Amino acid sequence: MSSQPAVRVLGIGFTTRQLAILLAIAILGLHPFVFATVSPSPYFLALPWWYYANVGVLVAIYLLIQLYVSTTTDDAAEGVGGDP
Amino acid sequence: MASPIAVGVFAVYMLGVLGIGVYASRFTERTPSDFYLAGRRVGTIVLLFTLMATIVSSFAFFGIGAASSATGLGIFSFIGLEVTLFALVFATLGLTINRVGRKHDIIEPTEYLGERFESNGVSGLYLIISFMALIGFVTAQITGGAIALDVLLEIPFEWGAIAITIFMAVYLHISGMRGVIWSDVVQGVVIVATLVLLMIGMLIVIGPGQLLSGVQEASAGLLSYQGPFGVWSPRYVLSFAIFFVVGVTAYPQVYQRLLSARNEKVLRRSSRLFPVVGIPLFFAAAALGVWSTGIISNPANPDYVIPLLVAEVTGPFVTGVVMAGAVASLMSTTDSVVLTLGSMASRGIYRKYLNRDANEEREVAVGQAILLVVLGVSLVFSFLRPAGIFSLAEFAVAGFAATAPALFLSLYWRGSTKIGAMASMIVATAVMLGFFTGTIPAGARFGLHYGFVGLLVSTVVYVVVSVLTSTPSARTIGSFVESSD
Repeated sequence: MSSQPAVRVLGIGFTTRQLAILLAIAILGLHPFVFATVSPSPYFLALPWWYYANVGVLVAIYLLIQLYVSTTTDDAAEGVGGDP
Repeated sequence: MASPIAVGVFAVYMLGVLGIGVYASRFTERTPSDFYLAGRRVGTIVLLFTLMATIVSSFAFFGIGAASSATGLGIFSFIGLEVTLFALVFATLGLTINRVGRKHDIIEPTEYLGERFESNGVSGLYLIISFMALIGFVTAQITGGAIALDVLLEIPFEWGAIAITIFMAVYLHISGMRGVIWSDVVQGVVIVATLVLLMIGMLIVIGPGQLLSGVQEASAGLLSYQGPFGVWSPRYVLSFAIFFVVGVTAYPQVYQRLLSARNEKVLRRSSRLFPVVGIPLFFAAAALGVWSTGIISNPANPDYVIPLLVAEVTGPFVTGVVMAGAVASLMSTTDSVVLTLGSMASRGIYRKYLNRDANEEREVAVGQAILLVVLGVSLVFSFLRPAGIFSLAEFAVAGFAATAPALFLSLYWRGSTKIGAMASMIVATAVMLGFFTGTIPAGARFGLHYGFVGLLVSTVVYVVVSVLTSTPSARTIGSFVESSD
């Protein structure tokens, strides 16, 4: 992954990895405050809408974490498995 | 009268688990590295499910349903966030632990602390905290399993507790960690499949409309984010998730699993898959707990709303499989804890103080004897029937969050000192005990989880005291900190 700044904010350069973790932290820190203020309706399959939206938030954080921890090593070189 | 089909299926399942232990024993050598870490050769899928089983499986089945049925769906926000953050912690901190463990042939965390800080005091303190927190945890697991057998299979409580303890003792004695982690795979698949399929099945058989109206009649507040009592406030959710991730990683049984990974790629892949399995698991567990309020009123024990739900909406065969999977998973979690305590006591006390010349076989034999003592003590305590699984697990994690700075910051920070490590553990444990027992008023938490407050206190004390005191030898620091670069 490139260590060159992907974007500059107020003169400070951020790499893609740095942006990923900062965005993950921002979503992590803000989303409970949004969900805590909303009404549970409408419902879908006997669960409130925010319950599904919460999964979406977790997936977004997960993908940003993967972007942060991903490396260029040859992860695929070894097969999945372990002891029998 | 319990269904003979359910009892029969339960018995066959447990025999199958025992069979896994016997099979695993064929591959198990009586050396510490093999008996306690499965030879450091654990692969991706096995590591994934053993981490899952160690951290969350019985908790998912017995604790989350009970908590969501009382406090609402907001629990998913905390626990979902936690499993997502494990992907980050295992792929960063976990890799460092694995690397340092291999370099120094570390088997368990007290050994690391003793060598890193050149101090028996630091490792001894961690050992004391481990026994305090984990014997209570093991007691709760035995109690939980015995109540499950009592409620669902009508086996008297005392006999159920004794049977579970004997089963675990035999299993551990035969198989070591290899048998535990292999059975974790079976338990993990059964638990995840059961909860997700039960959720889908209830939507098809009972229908969303009826499920929703049942919950709304019981308590509409269960469907809001913060819940009927406002438990899941944003500050509480965030502080709970963050301290839980750190505290759980400091669990000695989780630490050992990070050491057992075959290599870094395996650990990285397992960490990537952890939320992929964990998020659907807890999505289903929290929903089922809330839905249960419209179906089961006044369960005999709140920890058993999901097993009771299974019994209510499925037949005896499925009930037998699910109950066996749940109890086996609970035993598997306990096995991990007891095995770890045995390894820490045999290496941290016996080999260090009582018999420095003990060979590896002797050390394993002593560890096996210690785990029998731990199980025996926990069995006696289980007759006192302690608090719910969720709150006991919560307290155990808080205890280990107090040890986290010493265990983790010392991997990266050269300025770490033994006095800093000991001070942080003592002060933070006292603070958490103060909150847990009510000695310190809840207002002092400012709406945060007490475990998070304890973690903050521990970190601040660790840094401040370390800055003021002298570090271990440069050679030791270089050896541990450089190897984690």
